[in-house]
Amino acid sequence: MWNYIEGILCLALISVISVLGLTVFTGFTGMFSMGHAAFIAIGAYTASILTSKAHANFYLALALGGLMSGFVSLIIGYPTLRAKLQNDYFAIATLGFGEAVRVILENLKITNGARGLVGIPARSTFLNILLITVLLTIITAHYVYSKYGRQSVAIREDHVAAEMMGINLFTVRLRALFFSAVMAGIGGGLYAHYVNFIQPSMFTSTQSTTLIAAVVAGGMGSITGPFVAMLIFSALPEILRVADMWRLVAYGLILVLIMVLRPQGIFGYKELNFKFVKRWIKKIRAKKPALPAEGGDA
Amino acid sequence: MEEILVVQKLTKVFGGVVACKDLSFCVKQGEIKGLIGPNGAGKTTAFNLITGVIPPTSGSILFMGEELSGMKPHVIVKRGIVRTFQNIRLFQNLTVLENVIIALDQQNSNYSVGASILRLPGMKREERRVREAAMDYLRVMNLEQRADQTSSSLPYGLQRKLEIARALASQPKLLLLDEPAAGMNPEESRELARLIQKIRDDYHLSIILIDHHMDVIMDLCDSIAVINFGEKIAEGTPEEIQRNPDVLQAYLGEGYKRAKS
Ligand SMILES: Nc1ncnc2c1ncn2[C@@H]1O[C@H](COP(=O)(O)OP(=O)(O)O)[C@@H](O)[C@H]1O
Ligand SMILES: [Mg+2]
Repeated sequence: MWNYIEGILCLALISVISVLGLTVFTGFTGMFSMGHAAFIAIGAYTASILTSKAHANFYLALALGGLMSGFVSLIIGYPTLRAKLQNDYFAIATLGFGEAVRVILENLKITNGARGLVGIPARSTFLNILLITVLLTIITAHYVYSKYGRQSVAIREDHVAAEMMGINLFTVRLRALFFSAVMAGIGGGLYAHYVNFIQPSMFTSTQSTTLIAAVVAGGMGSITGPFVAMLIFSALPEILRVADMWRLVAYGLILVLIMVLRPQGIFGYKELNFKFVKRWIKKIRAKKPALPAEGGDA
Repeated sequence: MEEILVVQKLTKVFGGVVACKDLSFCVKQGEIKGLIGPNGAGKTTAFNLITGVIPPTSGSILFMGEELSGMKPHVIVKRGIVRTFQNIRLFQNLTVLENVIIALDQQNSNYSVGASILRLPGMKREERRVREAAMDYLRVMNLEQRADQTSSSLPYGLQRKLEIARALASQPKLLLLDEPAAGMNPEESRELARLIQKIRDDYHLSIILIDHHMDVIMDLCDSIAVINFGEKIAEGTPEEIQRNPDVLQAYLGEGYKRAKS
């Protein structure tokens, strides 16, 4: 039983890493990338080729996989963000990019085409996945709650005003895209070394859409929201497996419900942290003044 | 006094509409220049041209001797021209303080991406310093009590003041105010006028002021340019403008003359 749960948890945490990256780009900068699965794929393939063909150190391979994704994101980001494509046009460009990457992977020799790579060493364990997730969550939070994150938020809120305050839209958007691609790439590397087999058809636009859905449902401008949402999204299909064919319906229904009941997302513009919990408890206490306060903090 | 801004033969055509036509005026160091005229005269368009939001069809804008047309807005800000917006553009989901902090970040907050990811002590020190400085700007506009409120929850008049606080935090040499007193009652607009005068003196600013409150304009401005249908029809001191028959006919109206006498 623990093996089963551990398996679900590992895959869920790996998805969380990719979502954290996308949170910076979508939730904080306000840009939509519909091709994020491509960055996961690039990281997965780069790291796998490095470990299985060049016998590179696993962690080095992970990092290089992330950097390769980041490098490709600059190539796609430079012309599209420079041209100040409107949000929806940019989303379409990334959609095309995602498909293009998949087709390229299907036709390259080094990636073994559509058959994919087999026998990737099993280096991802529950422990190192957990540690890397924690580390990257902290890094993301630090990045977002600094002047770099604030620049992103300013652009999301009002890009005209942001530019009028001296913010270079192009640089900030490109930096956020780079950050999110590196994270997705690291997630991809971990994934490949967990399932030990990858092929291009694993990295579809459906996966990209799920990532976006997690960010939006979890809440724009929040890290913990999408974090929790992605955990739920990954575990849900497993939990609903008993319902089999209905599970996709249930999945969609839950998404619709979130959007109707909380259009800002589960934790829109808020974080689930100590401060939040404290405020929440205060609120509940304030609602029940009849209860005698047991401490000195009336 | 020397001229900080020289606008020459500035023209902007939108499709068939000529929003600005051969517009020329200059702003002297330290002066408050009024820009008045009926709605649709092209005042906001002039601000959009000066700040680089839209490119001019023709003409030139010299700021401290440097040609601005063709520069990106974020570069023009660094040169020292900052504006507020007629239709308020605050970062709505952020707090009052954060709105100002973002402006300050661009000016003088110095730490690298690496320092932010690792939360180095230097970064934390910078963050504290920027926060303190941002509070100072809020105090200037009497907004310090509201620091932690979300900016969209502020009453309208205070949102306009926050826009000015945010603009000040960008450390301008020339400040462009687009109808800062719009929607304020006479009491509030008088207080705002005092504040505008104070920040001009304290921060050694030059200001271009667009507004429809004539008492505020006549009180504050050292000189005034009047535009109508994109063209400048008069320029001079408040006294000269109030006596100018063209201005009275096009904008101020006969009623204004009678109310004054
Ligand atoms: N971006 C734009 N596209 C097309 N027409 C515009 C644009 N901005 C302003 N105009 C037109 O230019 C004229 C001047 O507008 P504006 O500068 O906003 O006037 P004011 O600020 O003096 O009230 C108006 O006729 C307006 O419709
Ligand atoms: Mg206007």
